[in-house]
Amino acid sequence: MRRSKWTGLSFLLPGFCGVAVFSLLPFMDVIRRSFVQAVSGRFCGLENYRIVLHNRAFLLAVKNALRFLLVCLPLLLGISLVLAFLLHAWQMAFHQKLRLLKAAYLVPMAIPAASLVLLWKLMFDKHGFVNGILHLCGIHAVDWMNTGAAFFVLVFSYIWKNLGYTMVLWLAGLCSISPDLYEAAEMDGAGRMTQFFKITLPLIRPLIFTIVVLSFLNSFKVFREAYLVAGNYPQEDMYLLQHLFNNWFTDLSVDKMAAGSVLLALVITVFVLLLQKLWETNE
Amino acid sequence: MKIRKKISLLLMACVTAAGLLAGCGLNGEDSQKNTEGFASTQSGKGRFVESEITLPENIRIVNAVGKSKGEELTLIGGDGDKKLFLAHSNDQGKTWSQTKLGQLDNYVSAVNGEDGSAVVFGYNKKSGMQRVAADGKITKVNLPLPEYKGSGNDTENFITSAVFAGNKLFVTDLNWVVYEVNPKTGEMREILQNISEDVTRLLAAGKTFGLVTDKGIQFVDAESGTLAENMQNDNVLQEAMNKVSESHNINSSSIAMTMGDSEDELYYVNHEGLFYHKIGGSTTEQLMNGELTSLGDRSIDFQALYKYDDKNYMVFAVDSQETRHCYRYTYDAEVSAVPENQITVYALEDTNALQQVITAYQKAYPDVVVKKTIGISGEDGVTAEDAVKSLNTEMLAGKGPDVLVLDGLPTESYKEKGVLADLSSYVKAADKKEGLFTNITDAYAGNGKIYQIPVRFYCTIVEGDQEVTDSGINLKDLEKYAKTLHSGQEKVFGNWGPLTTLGILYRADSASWKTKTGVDQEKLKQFLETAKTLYDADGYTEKDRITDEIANSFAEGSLIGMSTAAALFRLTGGGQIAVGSLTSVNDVQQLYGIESRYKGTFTLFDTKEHKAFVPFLSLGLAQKSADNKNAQAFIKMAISAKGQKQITEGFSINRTAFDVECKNSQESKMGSSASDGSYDISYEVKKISEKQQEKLTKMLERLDAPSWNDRVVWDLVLSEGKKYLQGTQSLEDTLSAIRKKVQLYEAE
Amino acid sequence: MKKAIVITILVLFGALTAAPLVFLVCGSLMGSGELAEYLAPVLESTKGYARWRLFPLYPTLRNLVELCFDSPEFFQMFWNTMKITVGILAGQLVFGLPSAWGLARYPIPGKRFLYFLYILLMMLPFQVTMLSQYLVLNRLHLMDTTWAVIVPGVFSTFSVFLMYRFFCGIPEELLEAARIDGAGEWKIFWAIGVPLGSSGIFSALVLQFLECFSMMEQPLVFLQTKKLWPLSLYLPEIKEGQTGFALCCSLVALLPALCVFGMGQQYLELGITAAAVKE
Repeated sequence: MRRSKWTGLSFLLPGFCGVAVFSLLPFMDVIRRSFVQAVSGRFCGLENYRIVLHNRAFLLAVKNALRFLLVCLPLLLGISLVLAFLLHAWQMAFHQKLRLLKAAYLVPMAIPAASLVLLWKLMFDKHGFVNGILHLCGIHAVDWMNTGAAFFVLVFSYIWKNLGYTMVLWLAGLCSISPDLYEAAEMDGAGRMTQFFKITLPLIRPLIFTIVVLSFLNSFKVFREAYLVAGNYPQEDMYLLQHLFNNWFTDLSVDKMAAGSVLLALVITVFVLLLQKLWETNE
Repeated sequence: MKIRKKISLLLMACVTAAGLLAGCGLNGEDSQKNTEGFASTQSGKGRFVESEITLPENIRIVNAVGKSKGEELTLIGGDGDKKLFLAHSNDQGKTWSQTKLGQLDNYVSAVNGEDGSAVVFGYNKKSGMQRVAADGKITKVNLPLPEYKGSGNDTENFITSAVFAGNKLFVTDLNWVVYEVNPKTGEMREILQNISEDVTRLLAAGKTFGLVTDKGIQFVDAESGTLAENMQNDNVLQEAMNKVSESHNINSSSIAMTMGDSEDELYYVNHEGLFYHKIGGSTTEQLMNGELTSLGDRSIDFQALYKYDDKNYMVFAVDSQETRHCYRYTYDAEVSAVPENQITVYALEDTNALQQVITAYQKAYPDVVVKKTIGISGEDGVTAEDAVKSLNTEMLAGKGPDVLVLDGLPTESYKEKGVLADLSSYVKAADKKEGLFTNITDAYAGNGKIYQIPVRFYCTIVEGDQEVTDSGINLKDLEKYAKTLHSGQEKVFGNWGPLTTLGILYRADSASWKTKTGVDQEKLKQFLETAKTLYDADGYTEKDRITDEIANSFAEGSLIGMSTAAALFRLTGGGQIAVGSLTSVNDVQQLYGIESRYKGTFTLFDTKEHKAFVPFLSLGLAQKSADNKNAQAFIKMAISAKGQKQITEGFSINRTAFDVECKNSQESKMGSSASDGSYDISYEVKKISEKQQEKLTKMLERLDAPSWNDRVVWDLVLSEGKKYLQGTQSLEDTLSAIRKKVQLYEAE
Repeated sequence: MKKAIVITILVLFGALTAAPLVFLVCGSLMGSGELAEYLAPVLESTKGYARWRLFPLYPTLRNLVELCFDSPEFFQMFWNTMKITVGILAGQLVFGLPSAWGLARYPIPGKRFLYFLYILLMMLPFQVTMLSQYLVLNRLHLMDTTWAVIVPGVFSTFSVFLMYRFFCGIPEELLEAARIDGAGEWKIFWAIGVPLGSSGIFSALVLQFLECFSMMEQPLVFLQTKKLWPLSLYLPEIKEGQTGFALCCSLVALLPALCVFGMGQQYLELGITAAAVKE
C-alpha cells in the first residue's frame, strides 16, 4: 500500500463519520435553527441574532464570561508556570521526583463536580469555613454566594481544579529543554531572568497553544460547580452563558439559544485562529 | 515491546467490555420483544367492557360482600346513618332483595357467600358479635375476645378485620392475632401462632385468604387453617403484591383478589387492571387494562372481586367521595382490543383530579386510550426543570403531548411560541351549556383568545372576628391587625413554618407584582414585611413551628385545606387571625362548622388591585392537536360537569358542577385534638345551605386575576424570603436578591 | 534559605489543592453527631462559624457501612458509571485513535480545516448542541439507553485532539525507515505509532476517564430512566441531614477516579509531547 491521501482517510474516516453524526450534524442543526423561529420553524433571517444581541441576560452572561476568562486564564497560566518553574528547578537541583507533591496538585482533577458541591457549600456559606478563617484573622465575614464575591468563588474553583494539570503540562515542556542550553547561557553570563525569557519561553512557545486551548475548554466546565452550588439563577456575577442556554431551553426559546450558540462558536473560532496565528506558526 | 503488549491487553479488555455492553443491549431488545408480544396478543378484537351495576337503594355504604357457588350475591351495608341492610341478588346484581336490620353496633362485618349470612362486629369488646342469618334474623353471640396487650391499658380490644373463606370465619384483632371463629357459638381458636409479622388486614380470596402484614402478603388455606404452602414461594405473586405495597399505603385497599375454579388460579385487580396468575407460574397475565376503565382512578379503593365465568367479573370499589360502586366487566369480542385512537396528556405532577378527569373521559370514550405522561414521578430525582426540558425536546421532535396540564410549565413562553391552541370557542360553548365562572376564564383572555383553562381554582381568605374581616383585607391591613392584636396575651397568627407563611401570602398577593422588567419593589417590600410581622408575631422558635411541606410542590394544589387548618388554630387559641387557601366546597363546610363554635367570619383577601385566585389543573391544547377530535373532546370533558363529577380539590370552573357539589355536600362530625391533650374539640359539618352557596358564589365571582403562577419566581421569592424571615438576611439584601434574579429571569 | 522558600511555596499550594480530599476522608469517618456540631452554623444557621478537625474525635465506619449495605442504588449507579466509562474508552480506542493518527501523519485534503473543526467542536459547551444531539439520538432510537451517553462520548473530539498532539511529535524518519523495510501503513501505526504515542494515549484515556466520572449534563438530558443514571447524579440527590453519608458517598465515588489517576499519573506528567522527542 502506498502512502496516499486514501491511507490517511482510511484512518480518519470511521471516527470522522461518528463525529459528523453526533457533533457536526447537531452543530449544523443549531446553525439552521438560529435562522428560524423556535416552534413554527419559519425562516426569520437575522431576527434571532438581533434579539439575542439586545438581550440583557445574554450581554450579562457574555460580560461575565469575558471577565472570567480575562481573570482566570492569565492567573492560571501564570501561577502554574511559576510553580512548574520552581518544581523544575528543584528537580534539577536535587534530582528528586517529588511525585507525591505533584500528585497533591493533580488530585482536584480526579474529584467529580458532584463530590465537591457539599464541600463548596460548607466552605463558602456565610458561616462557612472560609469566613471562619477570615474571622480568626480579624477580617470581616463575606457573604460569598450572594454578593460580587461569588465571582471569586468561581475563579477559585477553576484555578484549584486546573492548576495541577496545567502545571504538569508546563513542567513537561520545561523538562524537554536540554540543560546544556542553560549551562551555555550561564557561561555567557545570562541571568536567571534573561535565561527564562530568551531560552525557556521561546522553546515552550508551541506548548502555549495547547495549554491555552485546554484551559479555555476547562473554563466552560466550571459551570457544573456553579450550577450545583447556586442553581439556575445564581448571583449575577456567577451567571454564565450555560446558565442562560439552560434557562432558554427550559423556556423553549431554542431560537435564541441557537443564535447565542452560533455567536459563541464564532467567538471561539476567532479565538482559536488567533492563538494559532500567534503560537503555532512555526509548527 | 512492553508497551505494545500493554496496549493490546487494553484493547482486548475493551473488546470484551464492548461485548458485555452489547450483551446488555441484547437484553434490552429481549424485553422489548416481550412487550411487543404482549401488544400483539392485545391487537385484533375483543376486550373487557365496563358497565356499572346499581347497588340496592338505601345502601350507601357496603361493608362486605360475598358470592356463593350458585352465583348468589350477598352484601351487608348501611345507609350512612347506622341503619344496616342485608341484600341478596340472584341475577348478578341486576335486582336486589333486601332486609332491614335496624341499628347495629357495626365496625367490621363479613358476609358468608355460601349461605347468604353475615356477621357484624362492634367497635368495642362488649358489643361482641352479631350473627345475621340469610333471612335477616339477628342472633347475638358472645365473643371471648382477649384483652388488648399493647401499652395504654384503657384501650379496649376489638375485631379489626374479618373474612369468610371456605365457609369459615376468620378474624384478627388489635393484638394482630388471627383466630378462626365459630359463627354460631363464638368460640375462638387462635391459628397461625408462629407468624412473626403484624397482621393488619385479612383479604378474602375464595377458599384461601390473604394476610396483609407489614412486610407483604401471605396466604392461608381456610381448610387447614395453616399457611398455604403452594402460595408461599410464588415470586411473581410476591412481586405483584410488593408493587402494590410500595406504591400505596399497605392499609389502603388497593388490591382485591379471588380464587378461580381450581385451587391454583388466582385473579386480582388493582389500578393497573385485572390479572390472572397461576400459582407457582412464572408470569401473570393481564386480562384487562385498568387505565381504560374506572379502575384507573388512583383514589378508589377495592373491596372485592368476583368471577362469574371467564367473561364476566365484578369489582366492588369505593371512590374518593366514599360512594360505593359495583363495576361489571364483560368480555366483548366485537370491540377492538386496543382502542385505535390515542391521546397523550402531560402533567408535571400527577394529581387525583387529573386522573379523575381521565377516568371520566375514558368512560365516555372507550375507543380512545388516554396516555398519561407525568414529568416528575417523585420516585426518581428528576427536577421540574429537567422534566420541562425533556418535554420541550419532545415537542420539538414532534412527539409532544396533545393536552398539557400547564401547572408549573412555562405557559407564557408556550403561548408566545405558538405551542398552545386557542380555547375560547370551548369556553363559550361550555358557558352556554352549563355556565362557567367566566371571571376566571376572562382573566386569561387576551385579544379574544384563551390559551389555558383552569379546570379548578381556589382562593385566599382571611378569617377572624367580625371587625377584622368586615371589608376586604390586604397586606397592610394584615400587618396592622397583627400588630394591634399582639398587644394582648393571645396568639395572633399561629406557628406556621417560614415557607408556608410566605407561600400563603404569595398566593394571595402576587397577582399584581409583575412589572415590565421584573417585580414591583414596593409591593414586594410590603409582602416581605407583612410576612415577617406575622411570622414573628407569636415569637415561636424554629423548633416549635409546623414543618414546611408546601415548598416541595408547586404545581399541585399545595395549600389545600390551609384555611381550615388556620381557622382551627383560631378555635384552639393558636391564633386570632387565619389566612389561608380556601380550596373546596368541603373546606367551606368545615369553615362554617368551625365558625359555629365562635364568632367569626371570612372574607376574600383583596390586594385592592386584584382579588387573586390560584388556578389548579390548568389545561392547554397543543396547537399540533388542535384538529384532533379526541383531544378536543378531552378539553370539553374536563370543563364539563360530567368530567368533574369525582373531583374534590378546588372549586369547579363549571357552575353546574359547582351547584351539584354544594347540593351533594355531606354532613359529618369532625374533631380535633392536640397530642399533648391541651385541647379536644369537635364541631358539626353541615350541608351548604342555599344562603351560604349564594354568598360563596358571589365571593368566587369577584375573583379577577391569577396569582403570579410562575415556578421560577415562586421558588426565588420563597427561598430568599425564608432567609429574611429566619433573620439570616436583611430586608434590603432580600429585596435586591429577588429583584436582581427576577430581572434576570424576565430579561432572558 | 531560598530552598526553604521554594519548598514552602510548593508545599503550601499542594496542601491547599489536596485539602478537600483530606476533608472528605475525615468527614466520612465522623459520626453524624460530631458533624452536626461542627457544621451547625452552616446547616442550621446558628451563630458562629463552621469548624473542623483534622482527625475525628470519635471515628466511625457507620457511614461506610450504611453505604455498603443500605444503598443498593449507589452500586447500581456505580456500575452504570463503569459501563459508560468502559464503553466510551473502548470506543475511543477503536475510532479516536486511528483518527488522530490519520490526522497527524497523513496528507489529507483540508487537513488544517478538519483539525480546526475538531478543536471547535471540542470547545463548544454541551448546552450548545444539547437539543440537536437529543434529536439525533432520538432518531436513532438511542434515547434513554446507556448508548445515548456512550456513543456521543466515543466521538468526542477531545481525546483525538490530545492524541494528535502526541502523534505529531513522532519523528517522520522513523516511519520512513519502516516504510523502506516494507511495512504496511496499518503495521506502522500498530508497531510504531501506538507504542511511541502510548503515553499520549494513556494520558488521553486517563483524562477521559476522569471526565466520564464527573459527567452530568449528558446523562441528565439523555437518560430519563433513573436506573440508568451514573454515579455523578447520585450525589446531589442526597438529602440534607445526611452530611456524613454524603461525604462518604463523595469519597467512594472518587476512589476509582483516584486509582486510575494514580496509575496514569506518570503518563499525564509526560505532558503533551510524544516520549520519543525527548532526546
